[in-house]
Amino acid sequence: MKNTMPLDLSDSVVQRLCSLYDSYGYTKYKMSKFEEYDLYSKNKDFLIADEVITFNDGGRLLALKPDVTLSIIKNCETFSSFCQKLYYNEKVYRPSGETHSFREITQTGLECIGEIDLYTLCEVLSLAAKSLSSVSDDYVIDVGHVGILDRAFVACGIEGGLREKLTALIGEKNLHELRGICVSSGVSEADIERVSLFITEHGRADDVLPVFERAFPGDSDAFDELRYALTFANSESGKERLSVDFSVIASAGYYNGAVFKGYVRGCADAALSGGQYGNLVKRMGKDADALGFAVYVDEIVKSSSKPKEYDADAVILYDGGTDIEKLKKETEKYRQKYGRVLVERSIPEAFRAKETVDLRTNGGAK
Amino acid sequence: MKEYINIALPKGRLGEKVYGMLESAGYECPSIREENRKLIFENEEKGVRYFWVKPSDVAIYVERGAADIGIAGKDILAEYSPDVFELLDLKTGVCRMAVAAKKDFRDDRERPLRVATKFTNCATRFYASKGREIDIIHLNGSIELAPILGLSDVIVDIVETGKTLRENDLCVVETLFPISARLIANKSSFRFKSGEIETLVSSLGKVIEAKEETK
Repeated sequence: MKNTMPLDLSDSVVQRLCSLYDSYGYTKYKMSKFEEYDLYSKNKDFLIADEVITFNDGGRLLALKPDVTLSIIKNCETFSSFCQKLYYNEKVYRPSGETHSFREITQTGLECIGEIDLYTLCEVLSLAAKSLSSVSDDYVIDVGHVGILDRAFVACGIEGGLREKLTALIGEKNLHELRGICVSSGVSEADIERVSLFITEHGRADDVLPVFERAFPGDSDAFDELRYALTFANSESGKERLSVDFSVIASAGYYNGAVFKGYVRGCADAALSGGQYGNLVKRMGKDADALGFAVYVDEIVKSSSKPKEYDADAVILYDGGTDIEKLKKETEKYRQKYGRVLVERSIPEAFRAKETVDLRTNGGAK
Repeated sequence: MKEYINIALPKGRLGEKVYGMLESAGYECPSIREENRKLIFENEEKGVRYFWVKPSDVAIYVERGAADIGIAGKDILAEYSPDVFELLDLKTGVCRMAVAAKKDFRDDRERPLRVATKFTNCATRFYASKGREIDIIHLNGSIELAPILGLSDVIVDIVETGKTLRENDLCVVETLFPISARLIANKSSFRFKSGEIETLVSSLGKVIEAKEETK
């Protein structure tokens, strides 16, 4: 983890991400804090949590945004053969998993809405890698592909509810239950072996994709495209940070192509999540495809910021008898030496400073 | 610097049994067998660090990344749905989540079914999938008492041998799902320590297979 970041990381991380997206010509998309509740009630399965903060505004039921992507799809115009490239930095409001109390979460990310071609996929994966590279020296991005998984299910004659269950088990890397459900559903042993690859095979594209290609020979275009996009983004990021791992597809309802998650060492949760979500755009009545990702700035900040060791670098104590000119001079001296200097008449016992300079004439007696 | 795999073990008989399996798999840590009040045990050579936690907390330690891997019962995983990988069925601590009721129980579908349980999410999901309206009564212990005293119609609880149920004139009505101990992993840790974790999973898998064969 880079340790050059200032104590208050959030703003500096956001600034770096926004400059990055700006340099690729993405347009900043600013939106209102509120949105019609109807948008979320119709697309509940897209949201991370069911609960939304709502209020009545003169008869209209509004919600504090729990998500950014839905608002962007709803409000943005789509053009044929033009891909809208947008980025955002917004606050969203979601309940925490454990206590269910709402939290304000900083979410920064980008969306491409329109025609998604191979170059767009390459660019977005590169930007995902560069986003994490701007906050950490040690990160990985795992990429799966819903299209490949869907076609593999079809090839194995797996459909409906079973497909959903198996997708969830692939998301858990739960090989034992996947085998159990396949056996009880009558899937052949050969097809169980093929579907199991989506759990057992993960890693470098050049190592993993040939295994899938041998198992599913009819889907070579999709494998070629995925291999190309990963090679492109890896070369852009300097190191081999992007790998194949289908466990990132925990649910596939609104995705139709690549799905990816980024992890930063030391951060317990995913720091970045994205994918090609054309199915959602079409469900919302727009004839377009879409690809984007969100960076969970709060998760990154939470994992990289350490508790403050000191309340201030230096404290200068004074009283009524202290010469103000001398106080000013000393303050300047220590500010240049340390940076954070607090001038006070007295400090609480628990207050911690690297250095305390006592300019009180009575030695602190009250 | 050597990277350790941090392993959260559930305190109690199950944890001790699973530690024995890890020991057989080559991940021993002799200090863990010593009589003392230490909470963390390391074996630098093997690259493992063990700590004992309350069984219901294992998934939290793993999900939050304080432990890279841990051993949790399927009952806890099904109830709390932590965002973790479930890498291995250890085939130990075997029991089942079941609906039990008094022997003369008859489901009156004209009124909501009163269900007493510690596992409210499991019970809610189960009855929602059947379209049955229920009234959940959350209890923390002695669940079997609820139908006997008329507090509930049925209970949803873990059943191992069924002895407690039989001794209280209760019986299993339906089984929700089988339970056993599972090896879980933090999704982020898995990405950064995949080699070490997968080697451990493979070694432990062989120990389980060998044990199953001798049964």
